[in-house]
Amino acid sequence: MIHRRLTNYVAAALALSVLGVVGAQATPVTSQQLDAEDRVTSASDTVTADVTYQFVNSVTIGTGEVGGLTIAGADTFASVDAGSISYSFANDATELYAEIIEVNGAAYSPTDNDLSAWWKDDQNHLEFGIGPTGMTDADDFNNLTNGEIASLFPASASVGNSGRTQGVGLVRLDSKGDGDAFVFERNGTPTEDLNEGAGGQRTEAFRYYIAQRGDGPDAGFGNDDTSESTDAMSVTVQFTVAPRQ
Amino acid sequence: MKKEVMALALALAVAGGMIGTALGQDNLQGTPTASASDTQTVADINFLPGNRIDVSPSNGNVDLTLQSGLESVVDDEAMSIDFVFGSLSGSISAEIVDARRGGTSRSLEQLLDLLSDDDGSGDVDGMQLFLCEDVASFSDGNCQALMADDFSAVQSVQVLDAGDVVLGDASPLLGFDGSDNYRKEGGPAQSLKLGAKTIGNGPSEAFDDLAIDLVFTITGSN
Repeated sequence: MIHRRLTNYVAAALALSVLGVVGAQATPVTSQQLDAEDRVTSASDTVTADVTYQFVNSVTIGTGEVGGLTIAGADTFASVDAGSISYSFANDATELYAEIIEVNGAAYSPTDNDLSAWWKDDQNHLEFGIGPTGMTDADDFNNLTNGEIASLFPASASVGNSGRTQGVGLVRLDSKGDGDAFVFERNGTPTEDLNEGAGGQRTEAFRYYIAQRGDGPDAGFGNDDTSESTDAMSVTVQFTVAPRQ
Repeated sequence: MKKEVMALALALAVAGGMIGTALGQDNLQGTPTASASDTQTVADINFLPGNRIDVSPSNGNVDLTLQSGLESVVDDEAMSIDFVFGSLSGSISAEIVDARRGGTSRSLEQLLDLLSDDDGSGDVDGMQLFLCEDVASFSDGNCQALMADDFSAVQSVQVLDAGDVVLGDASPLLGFDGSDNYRKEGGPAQSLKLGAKTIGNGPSEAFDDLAIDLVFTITGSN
């Protein structure tokens, strides 16, 4: 039995010895050839962006102040370039309207305002309003039709002189489907047909005008280069885009 | 006895290994077919990475919204650009290559049509897309257009050059020297934003389902 064990030990020693020699010399492999990569003269990466365009209610007047409306002597009409207005509707249930909110720098009050200087009665007063860019003289004004001008004073829905009242208020300038509104048009296309869904933005140039109705107010006002001159008057007009009332 | 035999076995194993490694030494070989070897050092091996680019939103998606009435807008989120120039005459450019509306692919011509409104008067309105520096608000000095202002075609923006590029009149969007990112990783990453400007009255149609693919390409050959 001892001999058997000894034999086993010697065999193990010899095996370990051979393994030691073999371990120091690993079997070589044959490499597999891969073609070289093409030269990296360019590389790229991509990013995806979500882009949205949204119609909202907005209005911007290009010029903060305009001036130079004078009716003198035999004249009965005057107009002045107002610059441009850019406005957008969120949808087709939106309107653009305007109103006088200040007179001579003071907030308009129905009971106390300087516009009384523009009024004698419904037959004799000054009319102030907005019209298209082609409205430069009285003939141009007379060639316009109802719906092409917006009278801000008197702000009345009446047609013609009778029934007019002294006062200001909201005057509709653009509204989908309202043929009587002063509709800003672009190439003959009113807002309702301008954009899909009737929302969208447009920019329009326009003019202010004053027109003498009858004999106008009794007293004049403004600078007439005499010692009895009074101050010229001013009004502030507010433009609003809002859901249709 | 067992211990002595085990010690002898271990010694023989070690000796066997030593014999294996000793082969090839400069000694007369008792056996001609024994293996032989020698060594050689290959020095000065270099790998200098080049022409790599990775662009990602810095925080979430790139998502740009322009509203009617606004003159311009710049995205809140910036894109981060990590890059390595392989050449000092290299450059990075960006351009719109694809668009989708509601998940459906659109041609670039269809993209330009959506973004613009031609009323036939000679003036074209629309929403013009730009690539901008990482700024809080849009300005022409900080942004370059990804499309012509008449929406006739998309156009490539030169984002950044490596140190030696001379482009004549064209100035890259990012005017600094990109040599810190030349042939090594870890150079400074750059940030850019997507922007938009209203031309005239803007597009004639609102949309919230448009996606564009903006590809940034780095080029340069040694």
